[in-house]
Amino acid sequence: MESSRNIKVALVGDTQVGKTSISTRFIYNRFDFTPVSTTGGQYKKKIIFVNQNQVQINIWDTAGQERFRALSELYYRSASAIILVYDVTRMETFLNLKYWIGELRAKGDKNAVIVMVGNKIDAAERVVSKAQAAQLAAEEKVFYKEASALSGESVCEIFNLIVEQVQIMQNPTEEVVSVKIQEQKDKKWFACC
Amino acid sequence: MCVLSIFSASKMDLQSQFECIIQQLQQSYTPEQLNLLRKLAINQGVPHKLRSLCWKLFLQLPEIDVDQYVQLVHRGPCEFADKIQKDTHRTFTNNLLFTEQVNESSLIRVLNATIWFRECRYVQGMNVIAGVLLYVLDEPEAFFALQSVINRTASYLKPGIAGTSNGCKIVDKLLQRLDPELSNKFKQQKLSANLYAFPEIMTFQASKPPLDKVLRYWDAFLAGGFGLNILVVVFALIRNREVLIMTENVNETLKMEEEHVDVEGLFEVLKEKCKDLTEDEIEEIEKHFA
Repeated sequence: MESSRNIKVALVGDTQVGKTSISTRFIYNRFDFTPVSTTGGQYKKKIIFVNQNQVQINIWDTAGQERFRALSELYYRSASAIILVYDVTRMETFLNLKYWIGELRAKGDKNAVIVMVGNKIDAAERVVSKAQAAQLAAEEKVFYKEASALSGESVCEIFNLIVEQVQIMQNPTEEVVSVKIQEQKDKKWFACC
Repeated sequence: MCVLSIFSASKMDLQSQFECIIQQLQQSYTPEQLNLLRKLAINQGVPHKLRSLCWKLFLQLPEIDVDQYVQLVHRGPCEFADKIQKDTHRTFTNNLLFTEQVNESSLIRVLNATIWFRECRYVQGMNVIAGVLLYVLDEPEAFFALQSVINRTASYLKPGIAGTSNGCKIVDKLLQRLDPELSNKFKQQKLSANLYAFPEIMTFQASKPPLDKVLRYWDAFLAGGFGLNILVVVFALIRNREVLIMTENVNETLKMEEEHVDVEGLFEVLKEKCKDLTEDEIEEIEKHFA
């Protein structure tokens, strides 16, 4: 596993749940309205500062389509944290979480921090309730968050949680520095710096 | 002004070179003439005006049976229609040039007709190939061209990822033999081609915009075979070896350099370095598509 200065995060989950949108929102603070499906895996990084120390977050965004499942494993196998995404407006993507957690437990790093994320909470047609999701997270002993890559709501919180938990996992005796990645405000078009 | 006129003059030359060979081919077809055209396309790329014609010549598409295509379209959505639509709606949609030229409905029709025609499963990846072909060819032509490409790259379009993974393994192996130092650097960082090159191998570079570069690669692949893609991947790394060996994070550097690949320069190198390949290596590349 990498040190907490360098955290490898893999994004997994069914197709079209918004894995790429979550990473795009976190890294560039923007949203693509015309997304292109991910083939294989894509690498992105972002450097953040935690208590004045530099932490590099390396994100591996994987393809969710069934065809690429054998490949996703390569990406999450050595990840310190895994963001398991489902779409709160599509029940089947929630029901598939059990499958994904089984896979992650069998093939991933056993110490990896797993965060289950319900995406698209901005949408009106929610079908997966918070209670339902919280219950599954408790049963499976994974972390749970809800977010919207579209509005940006709670996306940074996912990464705050990850950085904190990876620190705890790697240095159980040290005091953990609370992490606050600042939500970035959208830049104004005339901003020059 | 002067530079511009030289530039357009040389472009004219290339186009007339192509036109001249095509004209001769149309008068009397000889395999030698076609090979000449293939070589020119690999080395120089095809002027966009002549692309449709050249691609059809390279794929040796017989007369297009439009009726056959129309009949297949009349059969309507196939059993994978839902899956197809999920993919078409995310195929090159971030590319304005593409969306202006290619209607999503034609992509949907070509893919459904393909499933009816081949009685096969739909697999992700067909959408990308069909997309590139539709950008250059008319819809019925693109349909028949797609069949030809699927026949040539069959293992990549079977369910699962075995075909593409084998392509990645060949990249690892070639890099190891041709540039052991660079290959070791990749190994130290636990980077196999499966991790860093899977999309470009599976989609024959179509996963890497801009579209004009993709079309330039495809000029070569359709003229000289899709096996060239494996060499494109390997030699692009070797060409950039100084930077890759010095860098701390290979993956990050690959990502950054991705947009700056000088395709023409790459094909220059390829032309020279192809000679270093052994018969066995060439055979392995050819066979992994079966």
